Amino acid sequence: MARKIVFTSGKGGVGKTTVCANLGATLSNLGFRVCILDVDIGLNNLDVVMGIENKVVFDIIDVIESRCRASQALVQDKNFENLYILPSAHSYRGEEVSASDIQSVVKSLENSFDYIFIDCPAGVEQGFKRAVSCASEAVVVVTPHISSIRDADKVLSILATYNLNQKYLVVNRVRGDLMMNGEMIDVDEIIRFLHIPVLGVIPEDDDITALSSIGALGGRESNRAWMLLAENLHNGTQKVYDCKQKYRGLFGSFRRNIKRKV
Amino acid sequence: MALLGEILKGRCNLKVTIAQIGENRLKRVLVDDKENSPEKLCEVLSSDFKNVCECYMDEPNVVITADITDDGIEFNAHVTAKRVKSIGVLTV
Repeated sequence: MARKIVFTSGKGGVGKTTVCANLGATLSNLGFRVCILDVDIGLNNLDVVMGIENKVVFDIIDVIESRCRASQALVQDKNFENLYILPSAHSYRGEEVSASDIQSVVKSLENSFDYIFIDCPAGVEQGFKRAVSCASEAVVVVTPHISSIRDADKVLSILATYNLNQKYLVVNRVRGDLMMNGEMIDVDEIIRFLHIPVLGVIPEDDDITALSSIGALGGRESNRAWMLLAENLHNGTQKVYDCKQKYRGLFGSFRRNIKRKV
Repeated sequence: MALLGEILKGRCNLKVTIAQIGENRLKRVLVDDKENSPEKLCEVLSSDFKNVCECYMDEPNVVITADITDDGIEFNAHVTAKRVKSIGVLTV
C-alpha cells in the first residue's frame, strides 16, 4: 500500500512541483516505485517540469470520465524507470472534478506503488481541498520569505481539520550566504514559527532553473539535499542539509562576499 | 552580565540585521492573523504560556480556551505537568 503524500504551500511559486518531482526522482532512484499525480487541473505544469509533455496521451480527466484506466494514463519518466506521472488536463474547468473523483483515482493506484505524491494547486480553495482529501500525509513547502511563511501558517491551520497522519515542512530555495549575512530569515526561525517537523532544507540551486528549461531534474548544489530529504521521508530520520556550511570560516567569508558582488 | 561579557569579547553584534527585522515582521503578521480567529489566538497564548510554565514545571501541557461573555472574552487555562521544579533549578 502506497504512502499518499500531498505537497502543498498555499502560496504559488515556492517550488511544490519542483520538490515533488525531485523527491520522486530521488526515491525512484533508490528503488521505490513512485507515482506523481498532478491535480492542479487547468494550471498543470508537472508534465513540463518533468519533460514529458510530448508523451501525454491520456490525463487524469480521461481517467475520471472513464475513457481509460489509470494505469493507461500513466507516463513513465524518461530517466527514472520507477517514476510515473499521471498528468493533469490543461484545458478543463477544475470545478467539475470532485474530491471523490480524485480519491477513486488514487485508490486504483495505491497497490501498485510505494509512494503516491499529489501535487496540489496553489491557494486553499476547491483544488486544495480535493488534493488534501485523498492524502494521508502532507508536506508543506515554504521559502524563507514572509509571504510564503504566512500562507504556510494558514495552510497548516486548515490541514489541522483534515485527518492526516503526519505533516512535514520543506524549506526550499534557501540561500546560506544570505542567512550567514543576516539578510534572510533563518531556517531555524521558520521551523520555530510553524511548529512542525522539518523534513528537509533545499538550497537555492541555479541548476534547477536551468535544467527545468530542458525538462530535466536535479542540480549540483541540491543533490545532497534531495538525498537527505528522501532518506528522512522514508526512514524517519531528521538529517537536515546545512546550507550555511560552505559559507563558514575564512573561505566561506570570501565565497559570501564574491556571491554578493556577482 | 552574559551580554556584557559577549560585548567585551567583541562577539556580540548589536546591529539589527535584515533577517531580524524580517523575523519580527513575520511574528507580528502571524499574531495579527491569529487575532482574527479565537482558536488560533488560543494557540498562540498557549504557546507563550507554556514557555512561562516550563520555568516552574516539568513537561507542562497547556490548553487555553476562550469564551465570549457579556463582559468581554473569558480565557481559561488548564495546565497539567509531570512535576513542579525544585527551587534550586528554577530558571527565573
